[in-house]
Amino acid sequence: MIPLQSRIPALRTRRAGVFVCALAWFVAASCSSDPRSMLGSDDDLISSKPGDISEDTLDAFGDTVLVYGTPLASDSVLELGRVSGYERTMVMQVAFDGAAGDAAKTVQTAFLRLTASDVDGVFPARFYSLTEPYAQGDSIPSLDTLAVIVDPTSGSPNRNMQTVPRDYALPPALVQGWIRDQIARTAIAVVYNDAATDRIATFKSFENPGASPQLVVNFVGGTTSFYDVEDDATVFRPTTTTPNLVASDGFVRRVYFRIPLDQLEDEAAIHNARVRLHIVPGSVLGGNGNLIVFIPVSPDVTSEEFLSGQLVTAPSFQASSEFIEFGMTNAIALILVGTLENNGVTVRFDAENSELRQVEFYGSSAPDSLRPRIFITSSTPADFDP
Amino acid sequence: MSAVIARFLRATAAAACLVALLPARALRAESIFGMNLLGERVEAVDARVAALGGFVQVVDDSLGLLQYNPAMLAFSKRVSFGAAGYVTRDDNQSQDLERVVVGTKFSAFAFAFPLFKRTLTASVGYRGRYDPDFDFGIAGETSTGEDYTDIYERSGGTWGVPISIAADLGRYAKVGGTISLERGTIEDRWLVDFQGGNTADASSTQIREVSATGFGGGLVVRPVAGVSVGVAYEGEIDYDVAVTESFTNASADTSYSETMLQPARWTVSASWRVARGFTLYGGASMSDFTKFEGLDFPSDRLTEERVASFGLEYRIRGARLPIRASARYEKLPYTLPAGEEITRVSFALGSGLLFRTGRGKLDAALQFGKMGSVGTNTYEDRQVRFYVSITGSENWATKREGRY
Repeated sequence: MIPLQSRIPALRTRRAGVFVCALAWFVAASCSSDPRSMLGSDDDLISSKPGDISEDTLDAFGDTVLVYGTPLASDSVLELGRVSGYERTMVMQVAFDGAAGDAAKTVQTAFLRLTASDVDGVFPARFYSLTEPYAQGDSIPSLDTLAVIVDPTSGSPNRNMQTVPRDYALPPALVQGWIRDQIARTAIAVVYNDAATDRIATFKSFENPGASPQLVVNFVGGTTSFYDVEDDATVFRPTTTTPNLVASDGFVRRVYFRIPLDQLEDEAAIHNARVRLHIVPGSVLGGNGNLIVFIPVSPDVTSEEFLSGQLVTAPSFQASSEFIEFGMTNAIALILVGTLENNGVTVRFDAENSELRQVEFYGSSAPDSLRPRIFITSSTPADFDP
Repeated sequence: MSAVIARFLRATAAAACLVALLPARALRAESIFGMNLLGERVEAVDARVAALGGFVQVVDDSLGLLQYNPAMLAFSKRVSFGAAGYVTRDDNQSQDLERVVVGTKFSAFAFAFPLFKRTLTASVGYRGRYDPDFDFGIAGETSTGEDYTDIYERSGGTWGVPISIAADLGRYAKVGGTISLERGTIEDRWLVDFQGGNTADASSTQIREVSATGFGGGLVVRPVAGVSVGVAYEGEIDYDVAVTESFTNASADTSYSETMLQPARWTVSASWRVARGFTLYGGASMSDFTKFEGLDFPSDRLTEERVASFGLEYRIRGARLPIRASARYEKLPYTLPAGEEITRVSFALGSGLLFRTGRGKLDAALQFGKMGSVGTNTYEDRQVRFYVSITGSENWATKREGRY
C-alpha cells in the first residue's frame, strides 16, 4: 500500500498521479460495449396500457322513407305528363284580387288561360277543383281528384291541351262561386289523362310576367275581368312503389335510418366512422347528386323538430356509383359524449324543391352485402391502472 | 473583488432567480429509464460536489451551499447564492429504441444568509427531485390495414422548495435541518395517432399533481483534523396526489385523490484531507423503496436504492484550478419486469475556478454514465452530463476561508 500522506512534495505528486491513472483505467475498463438486443416487453415495463383498437361493422336499423310531397313551385314552367316514373300535375291558385267588385255581376263565360311553353300535339288532360287552396310551398302529399271540372263547351271531363288556343273553358257557375264565396276559392289541378303514353308538356308559370296563367271572366253585360294566378307548382307523383330507400326532389322524400351505437363502448374514442349506402342501379334521376346528411333534433318523425338538426356532411354521388360513403366520425363522437342525441340520420337532397331528382338505396331488407352499414374504428381509453 | 466581478455576480444571481421560476416541465431529460417509477433522480448539487461523486458527498466549502446535507450550510457565513444545472446527452442503446436525446436541467438554486452572527445560517431555494420525461411509439395496424402508432409520453417532474437552517457548533460539528415544500406534476399520455387522413386521433391523459411537506436534517462532525464525517436523513414524503384523467371521449373523464409515499433516505459521507491540496471523499446512501406507494407501480418491482461513490480532489502546488475525479455506483430503486436489477455506473471529472477574492466560484464537471445494460436488462442508456454551477457571496468585508 502506498502511503499517500508524505512530507516530500515530489513523492506526494507522484502518488497522486498514480491514483489518477488508476481511476482513468477504471473509467476506460468500465465503459465496455454490450451487444444490442431487442426492446423488451413494453406491456410490463410501464404501469399503463394503451386502449384497444377495434373495428366494428354495424347494420343500420329503422330505415324508412319519409314523404313530404312538396311540389316544385319556383320553376319558370309548369309540367304536365308522365315520364321517368313520375307523373306531373299542374296546380294553380287564382288570386281573386278585386273580386268583391264583381260579386254582384253574373258570370257569362270563363276561361283558364295557359300559355304553352312546349306542347307537342294534342295533350289529354282533366281539370280538377281541389278541396283546399294552394299557397306557394305548400305540401301536397296527395291529390284529391274527385271534383272534376267539366268542359262546359263539350260537356266532357276530358280536355285537350295545346299551344293554341290558350283558353280552356270553365263552368260559369263554378267561377261565379269563386268570385262570390271566398271559401270556395280552392286550387285548380290539371292532370295528365293518358295511361298509355309517357310524355310531357310544359306551360308558363306565374314567374313569367305577361304569360302567366290567368282566369278570364266575361260577365253578362259585356264586362271582362282578369284574375292572375298567384301561386302555382308542378306536383310530381311516383307512378311505382319500391321497397328501397328513396331520396328524391320534386316529390320530396328523405331517407331516415338509425345506428345501433349501443354496440360500441360508451367510453370509446371514434377514429373513423363511415356510412355506406348502396345505390340501386338505374335508380338515379337528375344531374345534381348533392345530398345533405343531418341528425334531426328529435327522433319523432311526426314532430316539427324532426325537420331540423345538426348537419353532418354534404356528400355527392354519381349516377354510375356503386355506393355512396360519407363520414360521421365527429358526429358519432359527439353522440357518445352526449353532445348530440342519437336521433338517427336523415339523408336528403340539398336545395330541395328545385328540380326532379332521385336516388334509391338498398335498405335493410336487401341482400346482406347491400344493406346500409356503418364502419367504425374506435379505441377504448388507455388503462392507467391495469 | 473588482466592481466588474461584483456586477457579474449580481447579474448571474438575478439570472439564476429567473431560471428558478421557469416551469420544471420545460426541461426535459430523455433517459429511457425516465418512464419508470418517479423517473430519474435529479442531481441537485453544485458541480464541485457532482465532480466528487454527487449528492452522497459532503464538501467543506464556504461557498458550497448547494449540498444535500443541510448541515453544510453552516459553512456559508455570508449572504450567498448558488445555482446549478446540467446538460445531459442520453444515448439509448436498445436496438428498437436507438436514439440520442440532449436535454438541459436546472437542478438547484439556493439563497443563503446569516441569521445570527457566524453561528446560524438560513437558506431558501429550489431543488429538483425526479424527472420522469420520456416518450416512445409502438406501430400498429388495424385488421383493415390502417396504420397507426400508440405514442406514450411521460413528462413533468417533482421538485421542492427547501427552507434550511444550519448551526455552526464550533470546529467539531455542524448541524442543520430542512423543511421543504414538495410539489410536482407527473403526466402520462397515450396518443393513438393514425397515419391516414380522415381519421381522428385519440388521447388519454393522466395528470398527477403532487404536494407534500418534507423534513430532513444533517450533522457533520470533525473527529480528527482533516477528517469530516456527515450523516443526513430525509424523512419520508407523504404526498397528496390529485389525479385527473381526461380522454378524447370526455364521458370517460374522471378525477380522484390518492397518496404517494416516497421513503426516507439515509446518507453518510466522509472526507479525508490526505495532504495539503489532496482530499479523498466517500459517501453512500440508502433508501428503501419497497416502502414506496403510489403511481400504480407494481410493488414486486420495488427494491432498495443504494448509492456509493468515491472521489478525490487534487490541487497541484496550490493551483487555482483543482482536479476532481470520482466514480459512483447506483442501484436503482426498481427492477425490470423479469426482476433484473438496474445499476448505474458513472465517472466524473471536474474543476473549478475560485475568484481571487474568494467571493465567488464557478465549477464544472463532466460525467460519463452507463445505466442499465443491453446484455442483462435489454435497456441501456449511455449518458454524458456536463454540470455547471456558480456561487457568489456579498459579504465583501469578510475574507474567504481557506477550505476550498
